[in-house]
Amino acid sequence: MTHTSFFGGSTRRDFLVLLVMMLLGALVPSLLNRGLIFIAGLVWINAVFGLAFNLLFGLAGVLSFGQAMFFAAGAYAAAALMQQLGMPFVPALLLAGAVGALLAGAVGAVALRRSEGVYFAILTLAFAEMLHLLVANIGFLGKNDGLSGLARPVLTLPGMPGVGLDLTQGDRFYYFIVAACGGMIALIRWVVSTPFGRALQALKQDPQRAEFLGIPVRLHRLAIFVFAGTMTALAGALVAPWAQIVTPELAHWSNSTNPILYTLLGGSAYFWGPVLGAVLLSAVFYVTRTLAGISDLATGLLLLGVVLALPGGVLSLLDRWTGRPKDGERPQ
Amino acid sequence: MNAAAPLVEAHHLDKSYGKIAVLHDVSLTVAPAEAHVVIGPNGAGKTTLFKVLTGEVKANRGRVSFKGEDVSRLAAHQRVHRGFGRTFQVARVFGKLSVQDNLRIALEAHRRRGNPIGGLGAAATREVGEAIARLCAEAGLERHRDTLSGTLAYGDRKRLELAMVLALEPTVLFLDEPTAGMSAAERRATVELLRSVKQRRQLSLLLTEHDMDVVFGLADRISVLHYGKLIASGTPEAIRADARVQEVYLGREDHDA
Repeated sequence: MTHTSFFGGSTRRDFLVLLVMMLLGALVPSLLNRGLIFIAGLVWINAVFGLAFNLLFGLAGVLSFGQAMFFAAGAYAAAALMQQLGMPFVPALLLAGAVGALLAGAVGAVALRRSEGVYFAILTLAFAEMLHLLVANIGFLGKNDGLSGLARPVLTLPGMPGVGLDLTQGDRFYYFIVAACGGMIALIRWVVSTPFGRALQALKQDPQRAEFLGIPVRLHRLAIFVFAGTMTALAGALVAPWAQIVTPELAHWSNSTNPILYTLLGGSAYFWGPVLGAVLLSAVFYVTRTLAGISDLATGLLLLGVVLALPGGVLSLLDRWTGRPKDGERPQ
Repeated sequence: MNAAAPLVEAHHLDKSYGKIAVLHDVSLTVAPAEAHVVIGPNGAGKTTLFKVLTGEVKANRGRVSFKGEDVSRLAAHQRVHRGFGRTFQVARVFGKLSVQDNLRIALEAHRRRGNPIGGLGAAATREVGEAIARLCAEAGLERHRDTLSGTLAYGDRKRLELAMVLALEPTVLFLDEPTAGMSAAERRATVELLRSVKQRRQLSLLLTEHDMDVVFGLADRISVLHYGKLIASGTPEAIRADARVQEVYLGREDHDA
């Protein structure tokens, strides 16, 4: 694609950026303390959460206000399959992704009938609240307490009991998160670069023109919704053994606002926008962690400042500095 | 030419929005490689007829068939896959993308036939690149390949839209006022372009148009729509001579272009 494409740069450049990020991420355990390593793991997971949201919002022009439902579904699926049913980690992880895909398929089939404007956002919010109520009332899922004391996994190969990778030790699960999230980010970036990704950019700008080019608009929206739901559920499935607890809060609407905040903060017109947003917000939370109540205030002020001063997000500063013409969309 | 089996057939189309009847019992055909122009005053129902034929809205009664197949229930994108191409009254392109990316999206859509995971691979990328060059040449847009399409002059944008539709290799083109908003020189150029494209690709055209030079410059057949009813249909000479048409349309000097 040329310089005018939606996410700006070339795929190759973005894969390089990802590689550098993963290398930096791999250095975290040797440089920072335990608390920060934990936060770094969450930032990786949240980066995937935010990128999956922006596939819908920035790429396809669909605003979902219920992405927490897929995050929670993935987290609960992984937790319940491992703790309650004793399933090994990798199949539990993959099944959690499948749960996200199925849930997104079902929700999308209904909600995408009203994909324009605010209706879709409200419908997804309603579905997410239903899931929130559901998980908070199912005994198998621990009701309001959720599932706690989740163990970090040991990766084994079927039929080879002696061979395995023990992720319970030290920082190993952190490295696993870096690898898994890096892989998912690469997959997301690749999808953006495909003909399908370009068709989504097109239908965001003018769905009717796209339809009359032979692009089935509803099917495309559903397909990206299912893909984003799958990625989000996989991110959620990683949170379960990392935080070692899952609670109904994961499905609360406030968790749906997280990827939206990352995206608006970093810039919805940029592939890396949600990643930068996740890093910045986590930094703000960390710096203000001891000041009760201040952290929400600081987040609010930061967001207010960015939306007013830099409506294209923090990454739009790069365009200003490099003098690139402002062709990127602004958050609507 | 008109003796050939029709490519597109509209049978007794009725369309109303609420209580307002916009089309009443409209039947028409488009023969292979024929240019059929629908004329009529503003509000006659031309655009609604286009919407019904291309699948943007469904008729209340009647059906549309293509090559003998009833396509009335097919969605717009499915009709596109069958061979329908459509341009809009006000040219619609993806303004935030370059000219070549607009063409790329159209070409890829055509290759994928609606399949979200289709059109991958290096060979597809190369062929699309070659087709972009050909289409840019055909539409006279070589200089603008990397121009943001939203910044193109209006005539260029119209040509880009036409090139995007041609990328779909359609059998029949539905053109809603292809020269609306153009200067006289651009109009002549567009008529020439449409004529040569039709000739080269053996295309059928169904178009609406206000400009009589364009109408008589292109049409093999003309139909006249008046308050949702088809009041005449025939060769340009026959339409010119038709008393009723004279009265309701051609005779009027103040028709808005």
